[in-house]
Amino acid sequence: MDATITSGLVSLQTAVDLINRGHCLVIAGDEWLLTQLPPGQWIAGSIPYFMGNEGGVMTKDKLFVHDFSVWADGCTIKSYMVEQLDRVTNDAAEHGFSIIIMPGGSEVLSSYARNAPNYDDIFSKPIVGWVSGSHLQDVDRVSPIVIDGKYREARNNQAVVMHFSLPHNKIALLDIVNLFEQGEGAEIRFPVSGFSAGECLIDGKRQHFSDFLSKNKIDTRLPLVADYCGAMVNVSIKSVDDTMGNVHFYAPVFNDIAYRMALPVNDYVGAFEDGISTSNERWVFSCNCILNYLFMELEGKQTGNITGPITFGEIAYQLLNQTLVYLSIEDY
Amino acid sequence: MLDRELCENILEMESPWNILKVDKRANQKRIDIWVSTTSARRGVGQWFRRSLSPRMNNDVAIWQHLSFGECRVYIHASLSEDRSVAWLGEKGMPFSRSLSRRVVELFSERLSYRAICSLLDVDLDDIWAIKHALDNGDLQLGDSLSPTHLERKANLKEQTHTQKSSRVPAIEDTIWIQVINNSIDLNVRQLGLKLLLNRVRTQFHHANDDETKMLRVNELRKYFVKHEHFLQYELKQMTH
Repeated sequence: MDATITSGLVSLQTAVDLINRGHCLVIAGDEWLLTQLPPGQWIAGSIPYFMGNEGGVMTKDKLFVHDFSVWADGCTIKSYMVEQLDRVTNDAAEHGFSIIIMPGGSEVLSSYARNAPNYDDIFSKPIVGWVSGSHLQDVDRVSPIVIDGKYREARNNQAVVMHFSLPHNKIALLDIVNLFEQGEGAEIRFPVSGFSAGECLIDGKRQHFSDFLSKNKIDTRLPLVADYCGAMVNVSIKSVDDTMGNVHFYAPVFNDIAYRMALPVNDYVGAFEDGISTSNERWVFSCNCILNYLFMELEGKQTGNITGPITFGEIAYQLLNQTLVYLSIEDY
Repeated sequence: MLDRELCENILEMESPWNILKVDKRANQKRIDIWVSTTSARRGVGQWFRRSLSPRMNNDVAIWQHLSFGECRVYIHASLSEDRSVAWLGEKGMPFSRSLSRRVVELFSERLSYRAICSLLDVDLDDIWAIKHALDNGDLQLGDSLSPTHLERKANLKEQTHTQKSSRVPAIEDTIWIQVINNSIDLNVRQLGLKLLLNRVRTQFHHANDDETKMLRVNELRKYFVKHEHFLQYELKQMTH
């Protein structure tokens, strides 16, 4: 990575050099590499999937680095246990942004997913980030981790956050690219919020959600989509337990939200390039979802010139699924 | 029993302060925390006995602090200690400095005393004590939070907005209710506003009283005030 580039895939040695030169980094990579990094001003999460300059790639030999050194003067790093998580917005700068990484499958992620939409000031202070993971073959035996570079201890039960304050002539803007839209099928409502669902209301009629999926031959690679005043928010289906009649999700469904199954996306790469309507020159951070990588077969394919980690969940204020999130810094 | 170290972390307590004891009373949503700058257990038993019942005696006081979840938190400390930390309060005051600040901030937002009690889980008598202390100049929270300063700040804000010809409608403007009720077709571009508006609409719909509804309106307006520069597209639709 040369000095003019603020993000990209790098070797372990390059990452070490950047840290030793005092750079302020958000790092994604395999746990083995992350634990070899020296102490410094960085946070990291485990993930071996990336969107690099050459397209989608799985590698345990490189690290993806987002370099925020230009804003380092206003940077603080904090870790949050589940009990402290709602303080994240209090700790965030009044005028700035925050980058958060949470371990996949953790209690802290579950709490954030369920409660963040109701935190004070959550939508007033840009908070963006991702959920750490592991190689898909290791999902059942490897626990995703995050690391605060000051202490270099891998944690599977804490969130790590870099809070940045910005000069008053700059502003951080957070947005998403979600290629999924609500289909025209039934309206689906869930009586209870949570990461799994049994019974639900399909166009007002009680039915097991698993029965609805199987009877209608729904492609469960497609997410549920909710319309949040124009923002399409996905909830992806993790698994369907037909024997127990339960459906499990990668993000919680909420009992006060109406969902519909997504319309299929036939040409993801093409739709993606169309979906990025504006220049991404001012993007300082982005990440995309592992499910998009898998279902859209992004390995070896480029999605415009967008790079970043491919993650087990994306955060744009709240937890999202199957969505690209990005942060840009604009002149104020 | 709550972990002392956890409580020290939550309070962001630093040396020489330490927690002598934490008591979560069974079946009560109340946590009592005894703090001191003296190390460990010397004379603690006697100290506990002195401090357990009355709010304040000659040298020990109890201040209500910001709640931990649904539990009220009460901090016990000797009045002879340096009390400049946020989780202790002034002599004779019911609240810690942090909680007093929150109450005063909410006063400045013109919330009713009942709403403040509900939001912060505090007793009305204690709110009156704070109000009385403020009126009499007995509560020192620093210039930035004195009522006169807040008033000046509010006026200055208003003037600044007027000077800048702010397009954000006043809180009384019915446009806010129309936006929340979705009775005007507002096309929103900014992600944060979309998500906030969704939350405000849901909470407004479930609110049972006008005060709670006004809180939601105020929350939405505050977002517009803070982000006015980047909400010109939305404001144009609202003020057309």
